[in-house]
Amino acid sequence: MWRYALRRLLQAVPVFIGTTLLIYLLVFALPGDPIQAMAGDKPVPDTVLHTLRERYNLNDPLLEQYGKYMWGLLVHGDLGENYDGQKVSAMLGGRWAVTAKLAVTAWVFELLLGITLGVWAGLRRGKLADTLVLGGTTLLIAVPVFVVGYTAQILLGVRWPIFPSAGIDDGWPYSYLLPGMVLGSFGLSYVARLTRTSLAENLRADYVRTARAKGLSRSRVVVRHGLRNSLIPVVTYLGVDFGALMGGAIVTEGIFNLPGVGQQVFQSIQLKEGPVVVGAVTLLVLVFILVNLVVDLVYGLLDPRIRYD
Amino acid sequence: MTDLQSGEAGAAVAEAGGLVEGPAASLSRDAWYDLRRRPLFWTASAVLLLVALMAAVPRLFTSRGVNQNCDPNIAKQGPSGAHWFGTDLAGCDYYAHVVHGARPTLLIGVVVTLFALLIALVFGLLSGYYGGIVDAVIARITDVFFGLPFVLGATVVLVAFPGHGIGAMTLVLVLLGWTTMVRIMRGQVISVRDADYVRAARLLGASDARIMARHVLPNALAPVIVVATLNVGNVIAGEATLDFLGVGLQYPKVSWGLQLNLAQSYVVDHPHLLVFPALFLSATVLSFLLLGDAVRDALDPKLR
Repeated sequence: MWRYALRRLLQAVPVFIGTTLLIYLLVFALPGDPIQAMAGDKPVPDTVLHTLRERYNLNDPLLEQYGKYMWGLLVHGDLGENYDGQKVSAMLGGRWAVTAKLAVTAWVFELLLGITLGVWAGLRRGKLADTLVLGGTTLLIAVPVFVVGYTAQILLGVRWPIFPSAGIDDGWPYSYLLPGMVLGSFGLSYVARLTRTSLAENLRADYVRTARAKGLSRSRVVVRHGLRNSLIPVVTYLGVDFGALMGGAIVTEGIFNLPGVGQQVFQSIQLKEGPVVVGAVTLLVLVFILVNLVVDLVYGLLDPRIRYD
Repeated sequence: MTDLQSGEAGAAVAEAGGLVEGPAASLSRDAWYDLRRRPLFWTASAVLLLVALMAAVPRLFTSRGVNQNCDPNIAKQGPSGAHWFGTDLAGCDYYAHVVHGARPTLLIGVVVTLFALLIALVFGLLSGYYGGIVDAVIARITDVFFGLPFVLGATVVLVAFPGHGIGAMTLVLVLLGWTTMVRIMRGQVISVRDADYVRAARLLGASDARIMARHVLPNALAPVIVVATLNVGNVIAGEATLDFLGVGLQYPKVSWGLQLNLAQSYVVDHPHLLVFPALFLSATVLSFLLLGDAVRDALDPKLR
């Protein structure tokens, strides 16, 4: 176990370096001068250009820039500052909370409803409930998230104002319910389908027949024997999906006007504010890698059949 | 699907399972018998055929070009006899726009998937067949690209090249979308790598290249093809998302995602602007998903 954990941790290091380097190169090696971008079409005096380029290490070779950046981040926990002098950590600070609340809402939604629907369908395989769940989830997967978002906003936010239609004025959880459901709709479908297939398969296993033969009640057989083992792939998916929810929140944040990290990064990309983009995406990647790592390790606790060697 | 048993072990199996009349009952033949009886398979195929026809010969569906004969006096009108899908912000026919939007959408979906499939086949074969250091390196490269958030990564690249067209979109979507298929291909290759027929071929002195091409590839291909079909749908949805965010294809170009982008501020009062492109977009994505599902069910004997 510990050897496996160590090996997995060591594997995560090159992936972290690779992904962050790739992002760094994408942001800084592609055409477009960030200092010029601040001034728009107006000419920038050479001295200003030079001073600013020097100050933000823009004249160094890219790899050296990356090295300095990572050093600052990992050793001092410093995300650097934007070209207008604002600290990146200050620009992103409050926004992380918004994105995290949104991701958590979506995650809880897909966990609760997804598993419920999956169990409902899995216990009635081939019946109407099963067909309904399969059909509904296929639809949700197929309809792009921004279409789901707008439709939900128009119907449930504007026409029948059950939920706030935009913004975060009503605080958590009320303001985040509708955006959370929209963001979680894709994952919900996967969770429901995974649970259904996995449960239906496990209910045919020998140990379930044994449990039934022993005279255990149906609910106990389903929950303790069937469901518990069926949830292993679901837990894996849910774990990995949390990272994806954080990174994929950008569309939902846009539709519901939530001031999260995604919105900020999207604006910053267009304004060529490289430090903000790199800072936010690097942290997102870090979350993603860590969550994956944890899921891989927890996997073995859930399923004793898995051996680490 | 290719002929699965290419040589050695095939004849006996086909003989034993030969209840079906005609030539040997291969997996692909069984799958086809199964597929033929599925209404969803035919529905999905019909929708895709229709969309493909729109993409190939839009003139069949409308005599109008895109943004032709626009009349600002009738902007944002709902569906009517003259304009089946209503008119857009500038009073152009919305139906013509939807018809012409099929081509870039479908083209990007299919071409991106083909390139991603090619990468997956090469990387997956090398990684699964040789294992060891090759596998480790390819796995780490895959992880690196897998960790990039899709929308943000694509936006960074696309914003750096203003005025990009379908080519650049394809490139970006391939760059960010090849990883899943590599992993599946690798898993498949590992599962057939040590099969008896592969060992037999090796004993007969076949080269690595020949074993991979003739024995491993055909037997590992089926699940990857299924995922590729599903992937077309995902790519189309991804492309539409980028268009919708305003970083994908730009105005004079035509696509469903772009239509939705232009419509976004007006959908509350003029829902038809959202409904029609969204309907075609979703139906196309859905059809690719259903097609992939149907093929998978047909190819997987365990589910029967």
